[in-house]
Amino acid sequence: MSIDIPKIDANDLRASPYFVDGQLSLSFAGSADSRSQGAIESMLERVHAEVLRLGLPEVAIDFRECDFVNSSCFKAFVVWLEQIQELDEAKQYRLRFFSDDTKAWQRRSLQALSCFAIELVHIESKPNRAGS
Amino acid sequence: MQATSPDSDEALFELRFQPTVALVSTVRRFVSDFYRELLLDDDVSHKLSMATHEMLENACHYSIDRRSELVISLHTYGTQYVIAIQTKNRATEERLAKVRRALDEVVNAADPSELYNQLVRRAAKRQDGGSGLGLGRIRAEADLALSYAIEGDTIIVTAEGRFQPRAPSAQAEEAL
Repeated sequence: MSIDIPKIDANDLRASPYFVDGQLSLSFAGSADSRSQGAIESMLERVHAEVLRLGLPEVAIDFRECDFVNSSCFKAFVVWLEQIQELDEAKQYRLRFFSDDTKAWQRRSLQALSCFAIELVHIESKPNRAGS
Repeated sequence: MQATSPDSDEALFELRFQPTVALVSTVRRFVSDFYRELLLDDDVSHKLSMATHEMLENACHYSIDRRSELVISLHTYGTQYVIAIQTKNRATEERLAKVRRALDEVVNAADPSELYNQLVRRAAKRQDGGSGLGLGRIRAEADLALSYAIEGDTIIVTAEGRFQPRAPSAQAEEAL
């Protein structure tokens, strides 16, 4: 099985999808401002379609290398969660966010997503990949 | 809160420019680096740079002539830093009315976190491309108070907060 999800590499933001051993993950790095809003919305729409096609129970989203997400880009994740909530319960899937435990803002921002859809969002704090 | 005069202006900078989203990000990075150096606190630096970014993007969106002014000041009151971020721009009557409604709701919120959760729920349904989250996020996530003034067709928005400098021992520990 393969996935059809475009990468993002423009305007200070890099976002890549990975599909390994049946697990789909998205990795975000850099800064997400209004210039990236459309690209993120398109990516998440594709992710949603692919998750439903493949019947996956979960998507992992790694924010650890992310330095900034503005409110417009943050809204794209809210809309994604809204789309998941609108699905029949049997088709709903979870989002597992990884935040860098040295970047308090990530956990603060992700907490609002958790409040919006507590049953669908799981947040894990981990050291970043560089190990700092 | 102490009613004392500021001890000194530790730092103040003023910028008048025609903001684009790319320039807003450049200013955000500058603000972040500047306050990281000054306060030795990554989290406070991020709060200030996030607020600056959201305020400038709003100014970009609402400005009638695409011009905006940004003033950031820092001074000390006793053992605390007081930081104010101010944007100023002209806007149409219609946009002033819209931003006034948004600001009134955020400025007067008794519980900024609860209001922000409400704004997130509203954002999920919004179809006009905006998020309506920026101002609420400044209060809920950056711990900054918001105020505003409208003078003719000009709106001045101020975000202000007090922060305790990190203890030298915490800074030394982080440096290890």
